[in-house]
Order: sequence, then C-alpha cells, then structure tokens
Amino acid sequence: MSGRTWRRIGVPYGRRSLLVLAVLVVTGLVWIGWPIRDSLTAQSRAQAQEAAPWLMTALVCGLFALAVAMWLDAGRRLDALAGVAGLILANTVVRAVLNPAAGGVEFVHALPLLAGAALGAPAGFLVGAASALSSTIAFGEPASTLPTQALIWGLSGMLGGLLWRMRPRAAWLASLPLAVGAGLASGVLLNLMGWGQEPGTTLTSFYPGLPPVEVADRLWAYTRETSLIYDLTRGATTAVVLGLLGHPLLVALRRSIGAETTPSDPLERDTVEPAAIARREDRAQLERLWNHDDRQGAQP
Amino acid sequence: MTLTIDGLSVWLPTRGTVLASVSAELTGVTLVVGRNGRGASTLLRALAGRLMLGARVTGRVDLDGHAVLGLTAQELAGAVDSSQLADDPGASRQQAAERLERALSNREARVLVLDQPLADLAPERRPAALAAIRERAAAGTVVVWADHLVEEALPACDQVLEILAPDRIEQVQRASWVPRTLPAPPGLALARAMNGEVSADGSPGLAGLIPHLRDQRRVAGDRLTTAAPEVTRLDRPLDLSDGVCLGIVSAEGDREAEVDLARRLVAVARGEAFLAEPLAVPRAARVGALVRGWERRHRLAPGSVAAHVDPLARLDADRAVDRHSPGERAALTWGLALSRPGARLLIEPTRGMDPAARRHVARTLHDEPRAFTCLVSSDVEVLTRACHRIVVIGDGAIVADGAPLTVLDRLPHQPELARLGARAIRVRDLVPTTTEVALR
Repeated sequence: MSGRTWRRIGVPYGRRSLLVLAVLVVTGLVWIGWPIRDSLTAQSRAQAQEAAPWLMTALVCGLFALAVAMWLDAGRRLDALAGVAGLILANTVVRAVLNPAAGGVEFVHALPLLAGAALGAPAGFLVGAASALSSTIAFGEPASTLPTQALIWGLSGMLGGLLWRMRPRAAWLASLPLAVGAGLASGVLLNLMGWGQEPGTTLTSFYPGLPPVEVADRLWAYTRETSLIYDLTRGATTAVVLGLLGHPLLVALRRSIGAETTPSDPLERDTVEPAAIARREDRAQLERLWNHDDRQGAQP
Repeated sequence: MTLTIDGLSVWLPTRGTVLASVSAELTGVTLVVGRNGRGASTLLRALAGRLMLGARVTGRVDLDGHAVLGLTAQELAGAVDSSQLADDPGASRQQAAERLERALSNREARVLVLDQPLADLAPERRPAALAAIRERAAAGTVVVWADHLVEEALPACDQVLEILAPDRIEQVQRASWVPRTLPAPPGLALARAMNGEVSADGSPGLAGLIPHLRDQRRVAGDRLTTAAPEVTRLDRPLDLSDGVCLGIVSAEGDREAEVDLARRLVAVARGEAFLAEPLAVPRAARVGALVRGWERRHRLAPGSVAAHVDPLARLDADRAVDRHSPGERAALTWGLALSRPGARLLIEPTRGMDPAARRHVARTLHDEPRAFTCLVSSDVEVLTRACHRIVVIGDGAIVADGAPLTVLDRLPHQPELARLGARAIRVRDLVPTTTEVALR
C-alpha cells in the first residue's frame, strides 16, 4: 500500500474547493476593505449602487463555482451536497420565522458556522452566503448592500472551518467563543460597508485621504460608539444557539458525509516498510500451504 | 469481457481498512463469499461506484482497459448495472423481485453487480433468477454476485471468490472450491463425503440412502396456551408449547400471511392483546448504547446480548449500527431478539448472515430452546434445521403441521439435500460420524 494515494469519496472538501474559496475570499476582502486600503478612491454610495448588480452577478457565479468545486471534490457525488443544501434551506426558514431583529438578537449565524465546523470552510462559506441571498430574495427587500452582506455572512460561516479538524466535542466548545468573535468581526465589516460610503467631519467618521491605520482606528472607534453592544449580543446569541444545539447537529452533519473522526486513518498506515510486507506475504504463503495440506489430508 | 481488479484497497469511516490491496480477474459469473464484515458488500459497492460517503479507495479497476474505480454509479450506468444495490430499506418482496428483474433485463450493461439477490426473493422464484443470471453470463456479461445462500447460488456460478482476510482473497473455479472460512454447503459436503459420487449440481441415486436419524427425540415443553381460530384466522386451534421453535410457511409464498400469523401467535404466547412487532434497530444509534439500553429495559444481565452476538460477528460498541456491515447488523438484531425474555418473534433472522452464522443460528434455536419462538424465514436450510415444528398454511387453513421431515413435501421450496433426492436435512444424517467430523 506504500506510496498509494487514497481517493476520498463524498466529502465536499479538497484542493479545488479551497482554491475557489481562496479566490472568493481574497476578492471579497479586497472589495470590502477598499475604504481602508485606499480611502481616497473609495466608492461613494451612488457608485456602489451602480456596481451592485455586477457584484451580485460575480458573487452568484463565484458561489456556483464553489458548489461545483465541492461536488468535484466529493467525487462527483451529488448526495454529498445534500447537507449543504439542507442547511441553506434551514437557515432561510430560520431567518423568515425566527427573526426578532431587536437589540442584535439574530439566530441566522449559527448554522453557517456549524456548517463550516462540520463540513469544512467551503461549506460554511456557501451556506452563509447562499442563505443570505436566498432569504433576502424570498422574504426581504434586496438592497444594493446585499452582495456585500452575503459575502460577510459567508466569511462568518467560513470561520467555522477553523474547527474542521477538531474532534466533535472540542469543536463544539471552541465554536462558542468563535461565535462571539465572528459576531464582532462581522459587525465591523458590516459597518465598513455603509460608513466608508459616507464621508463626515467628526473624529469617528470616514474621511477620504487618510492612511489605512488611521481609517481602521476611526472605524473601530465608530464601531465602539454605535454597534459594539449589538454585535456582541449577536455573537452571544449565536453562541447560545450553538451551546444548545451545536453538538448533536455537528455530530449528525459530520456523520452525513462520513467525516467522523476515527483512530484508523489509512494515511497513517501507509508507512509500512516493504520488507515487512514481504515478510508478511511469506508468512501468509506458509500458512496457506499448511492449512491446505492439512485440509487435503483430512479428506476421506 | 474481463473486469480486472488490481491492488484495490477500501477504507470506510469508523470501520477502517476493509479491503487491503486485493487483486482479481473476473469473468463469467463470480460468486463472492466470506464471513460477516469481511467486505463482500464493500467490494461490490466499490466496483459499482456506490461506496458510502466518506469512504476512501486506492488501486485500479479496469473494464476492458478503461479505469472505472472512483466513478459514480450514474457515470457507470452504461457499463455497470448496480441498480439492485440501491438502498431501499422498505422494499417489499415484490419490489425486490421487480428490481432484480430490471437489473437482469438490462442488456446494455457489460457488468452486472448483485448483492444478496436471492435473500429477498420468494424461494420458489430462485431457480428462475439463477437461470436468468446464467443467461446473462452466456451473453458475455460479467456477473459479480455476493450471496450467503451459497448452497443455492453455487450451481449457477463459474468461479468463487472467497474473502479470507482484508488482504487475502482466494479465487478458484467452482469445481475446485474448498471453503476456507465457511462451512461447505450440504450438497458439496455430501459429494466430498461420498468421494465425489454426487455432484453439487445434484444427481439421482440419493433417494436410496437411508438416513440415520441419530437425534434423540426431543420432548416438547409444557403447553403454554392454545391460539384460537378467532385469533389466528385459521381453520383450527394451534397448541403452543414452551421451548419450541415453530416455523411458519405459506404454501403460496404469501410473506404477509406468514408474518401476520407469526405476530398473532407470539402475541398469544406472551399473553398480550396487541400483535407482536418485529424488531427494528435504529440505524444511527451506537451499538454499545443500544445494547446497554436494551439490557436495562428487559432487566438482563450485562453481556446477555453480546453472548449471542459474539459467535456470529465482531461488533464495535463505539460504532453506529449503520457503520457495520449488513451481516453484522443482522447479528446484532439476532442478539437483541434472542436475549429478550418471553416468546420470541424472528422474521428473517439470517438475512445477510454468512453460512457459518446461519448454521449457528439454526443450531442455537434447535438445541437451546428456552422460550416459544416463532420463525419466519425464506432461508429454508435454517428453517428446517432450526424448527422443531413447521406449520404450512394456505388459503386460511393449516395444510400441514409437524416436524420438518414430515412436512418436507409440502414446503414450496425444499432444502438442498431434499432437492438432491435424499430424505434428510443434514449431511450427518446420511454419512458416518467419522467422515462428518473430518468435514465439520
């Protein structure tokens, strides 16, 4: 078995999907971080509205490419994406049914994070971004901010991918602080979306021409002033939902694609020495001869 | 047409490496056999592109020079017909027969993969299925076929592939096959015992053999109760005795009637007003938790279930039920059903079990009677070996009722030795003990 490459069947995680995800994330972060990176040329609200349909098209194409890459990584097994599709649907329904939208209490960020932890970062991104798009189109008012918002939901789901290699209980426990952190980070990014398009003159408002560090400082000050409590509440809500339902869901999702942790990983077994295999084959042959002769002798 | 397997290894989640670097060249009809959990079904699923999600494979499988390993069942659809393997737990006998018929009538496929096709088939329809399989092989199709009903399948195959260990398989022509890990089917064992005077395909001359019925006559246990015609919907009452294994067979092959009567009889024996339910094991539960829960619920000593399961298969307590092979799942169901106190209902307990396990089940039911047991099985070898009494029903009436040997003529499908012309069920009833011991 030495030197053989194992082909994995049915796990929507691999080189192709990670590559597409990397392209999506880098492009997305460059787009969202434009006001920080180069505040002088940052888009105004009107420009952003004009670019929104194109951005939307690009995001949908990117998500489609990600789904195809995941399908290819899963050995072209469509049933491996059933869990992802189910989670997108479930999160859409959660947004429609359980959406108090008061004081930052939102339940919709738990499932993408869980998808990332159970099925891998590409699945987390896909569930987050696709459910943001589907729920807004089905039950809300699609605005020009939708593509960026979907991207941020996707990034928050992708963070769950950090827990992909952990055992279920450890991944579940680690997901609780991660949920709070993801709530805070997504809050900052969501702020950046509108804040960067409206220059102002106060110390916490966006001002074109400032260096990146100064812009980031002002953004953080703005966040502390306006939305920090809401963001932390949102993160805490996600953590509570994960604390209550996370472990069984995580186990069930990993089981659905056969990604349970197991002590007998074939990759570890590949380091058998050829000499040991040869010795074993000799032994097998001896045993075969012995048994065979014995059996023959026993016959009438 | 040849299907070449070269260094195939298959690893399954939580089970580990099931097949390790096995190689074979398959032509004609290949019967894949082996003990429970040794990977017969896994081999078939790997060839058919139907491995469970999370599985890993390495090696090569070539069909006439084209690599097919790793392709999905849909991609293989034109070349490999594996429609009989489709997961459909709720399928009835009729649906299973239709599925097999569809698979056998797909003339385009160059490879036909069949997993336990005889188990779900009414016994009287099996000869027709075997003939259809031979017909497909004659037309050039490679048939890869796993079956634990070896005595029924053997005459229809060209070669036997026995899985001895994950990294050891043995591929031989049918005529020269000496089972290594399994008991020989009765016809083969008898042929060997008589120095090859009987071919495994059957030959005349057995009718003259006089059986040595060396079994001591078993005294039936105390009469438990009588099942009245109002309950059984039969023409006369049935006496139920303690410690008796009672088989129920429909002369018309009506499976629902068999199961219905068995449920009624077990309810009567238990003194319950509701029909007894056949055991359904939750697939996602971990084996250890399930067994512990069962033992607590029925107030059994720890290890009661394992005592019945261990002789049949090695189960992993930390693994979920559906992460075990079909044969291992059958062994678990058997262990749960048998350890249950009170009257026992067994519906197809040996479906998916290897021949060694099937014999163990038959022997246990026959030799260690502890409670009234009602058995419904299309495995006629097990049925006739396990039961002390068989009731044959037809058209709402009892057609025959008695010891297996006395009702042999009334069974719609007979055990192998009876088919070969002998009036016996076991080889040991026909040959001297010394030979039998040598042959096991």
